[in-house]
Amino acid sequence: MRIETNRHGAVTVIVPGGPVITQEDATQLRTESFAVLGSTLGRFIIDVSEMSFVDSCGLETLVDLTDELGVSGQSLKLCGISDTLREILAITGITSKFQQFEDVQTAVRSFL
Amino acid sequence: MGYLFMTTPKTPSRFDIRKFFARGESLVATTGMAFVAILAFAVGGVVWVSARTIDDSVISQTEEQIRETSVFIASQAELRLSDGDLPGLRRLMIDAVASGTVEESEISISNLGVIASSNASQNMIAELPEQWDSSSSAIANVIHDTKTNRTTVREPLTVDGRSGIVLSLVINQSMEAVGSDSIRASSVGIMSVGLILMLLVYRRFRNRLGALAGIGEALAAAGDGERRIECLMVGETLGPEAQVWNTLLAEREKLDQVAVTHEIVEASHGGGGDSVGLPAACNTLTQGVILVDSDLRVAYINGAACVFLRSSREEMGNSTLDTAPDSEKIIEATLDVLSDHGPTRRTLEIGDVKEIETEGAVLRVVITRVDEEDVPRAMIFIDDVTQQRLADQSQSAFIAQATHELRTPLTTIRLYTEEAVEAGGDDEQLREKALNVINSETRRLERIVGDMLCVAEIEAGSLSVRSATMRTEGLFKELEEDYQAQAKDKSIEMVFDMPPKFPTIQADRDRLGQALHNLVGNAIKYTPNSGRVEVKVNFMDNGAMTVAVIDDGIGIDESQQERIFDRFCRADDRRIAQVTGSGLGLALARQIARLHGGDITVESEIDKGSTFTLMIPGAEEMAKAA
Repeated sequence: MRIETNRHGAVTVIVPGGPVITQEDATQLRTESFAVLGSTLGRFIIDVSEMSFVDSCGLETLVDLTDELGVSGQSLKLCGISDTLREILAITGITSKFQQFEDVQTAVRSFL
Repeated sequence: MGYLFMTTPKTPSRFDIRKFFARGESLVATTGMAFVAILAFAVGGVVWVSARTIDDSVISQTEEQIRETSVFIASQAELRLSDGDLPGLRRLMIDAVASGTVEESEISISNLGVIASSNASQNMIAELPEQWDSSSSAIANVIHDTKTNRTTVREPLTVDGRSGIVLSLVINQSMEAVGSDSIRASSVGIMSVGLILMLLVYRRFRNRLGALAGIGEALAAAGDGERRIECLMVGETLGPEAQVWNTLLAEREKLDQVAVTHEIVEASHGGGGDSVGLPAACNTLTQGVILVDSDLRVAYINGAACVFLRSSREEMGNSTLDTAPDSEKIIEATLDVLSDHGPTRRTLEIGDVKEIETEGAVLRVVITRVDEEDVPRAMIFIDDVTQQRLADQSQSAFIAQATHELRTPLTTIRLYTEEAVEAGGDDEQLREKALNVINSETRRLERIVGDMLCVAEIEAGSLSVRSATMRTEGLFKELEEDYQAQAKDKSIEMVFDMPPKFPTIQADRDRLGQALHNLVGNAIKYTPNSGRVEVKVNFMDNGAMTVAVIDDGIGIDESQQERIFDRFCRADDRRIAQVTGSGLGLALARQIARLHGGDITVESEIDKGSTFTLMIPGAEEMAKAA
């Protein structure tokens, strides 16, 4: 899976380029996200606008990320959530673990 | 007077009379003063009306007395006249004056003059005639002369059915109640003295009242949940009560701090761990919190602080602050705060925004001294302000750039205007050139201002396009005309490769023009002298339009190619540092293209040039995108 990393000021935006449906996809997302988390003191966002679906491994990665951020009082910021993804988060009861934003700009602005 | 600096929590707008009257000394004083003034004027009014009533009563009594006197004298005079007793009549006049009430009295007949007077020298006849002119008839009246304070009464007499005789009495009796004036004067005096005394008392106790009202207001706010000391304190200048109140608040604040510190220390020494109470709450903070002893030993550290110091709880717990990497500045400031004569609070920023690319950060550190039982400790609060500082920097850069961008065309306009004015009507060629330049620079200014407004609209989320069926021929012709001169100045070969036919498209003409101007303007701006810029327009079978702006300029590094579409962002290339630009053009152009359902893409190679391609979909595609 292609994962882009963009910089918006001091905020890093991770953009998974498709659905996270295999163990490899989830591992790749985990590796890249944790690397960014460690280097940015938590100033990062995951833009999931191109992530049409996520399986249990992908969800576990997202939950681990938000838990890790929780150590420093933060939580994972997601933007561009599709209806399907929103439904998945709701069904699994983990919606409240994340901060959700309409678009990247709004999410970046939340760091101000 | 502004003695209280307080913000009370918002409450529903229902009127609360208790809070209204607890709003402070100014209201209490004003209301009290107004009440007393109204009361004083009411009393004054009552006194005034009472005096007036007394006046009326006295005047009425006097008038009645005069009337009775005159009627009595008139009846006696008529009896004497009827008997023809002129000496008796004259005695009556003298007796009337002698009684004291009447000052002068006389009886006169119209054609004979005075026949009997209290002043004997005025009597004009010796005997009462049997006949007199009784054709004239006088009217009874009472005239009061306020200057002399004398009352003249004229009473017509009738003797055996004959008229023409008039009794005149001058009575020296005041028609005014002199005493009521003194009552009025006294009441005004008393009221004035009362008001002056009240003002003096108010001035004397104003500050004390202010302090009490302020304390009352602070208590009301505290009752509503306000706990911030700066909101509950009252002005020290309001007197001893205010100073005592502030001292009590400061002591309470100190006790709170000690209690919090104590709780943190207790918790960090195993009193429940981090999973309960205040430590657990501190761990939910995005702000880093550290409590250190006088020897810099970490008594407590929360998760955020560990992250900011790039350390872990295991490493930091029960060790000294210097365990954390790159903590020299924090240690130095903390030691300063903990020293005997050092400041009780210090704020510093560590890190540099320039280091962001290399995982740097800007941290704002606030260190406060907290003494517990005379043992000095320091609380350290850490915030990550990297994004704020970057935003500040971008904003400053934008303002500087925008100012420069606006000033350049303005200067050109001013210079050419002066030149045209100096040339007057003599040099038609120069005038024409000046007007052309002014026109072109004005349009440039218009575009810059338009870009800025668009940025504001994007920020507000209100940027929109109003698509309509349009032909693009005119748009490209205008574009060519607008940039021909600029290209010529740099000896750039500018080529417009147009299709033989221009189908109509659905687009917002002004916005599309703005996007194209930004693309072509950029191409000319970043292409060196004697370069080439080509604008290639194509229409697809599906009705989509593509405009490729190709230049052989400095090119853009691959890593920068997406970044240049960000607002206020310019590529990191030292060669463009000397070229003015706001960093808005491409961001706006892409936003406009996307609002049309299209996009702008870039292909570029350093030193070889760039190709920006704007795509506007056909009507059908656009409808789908909408």
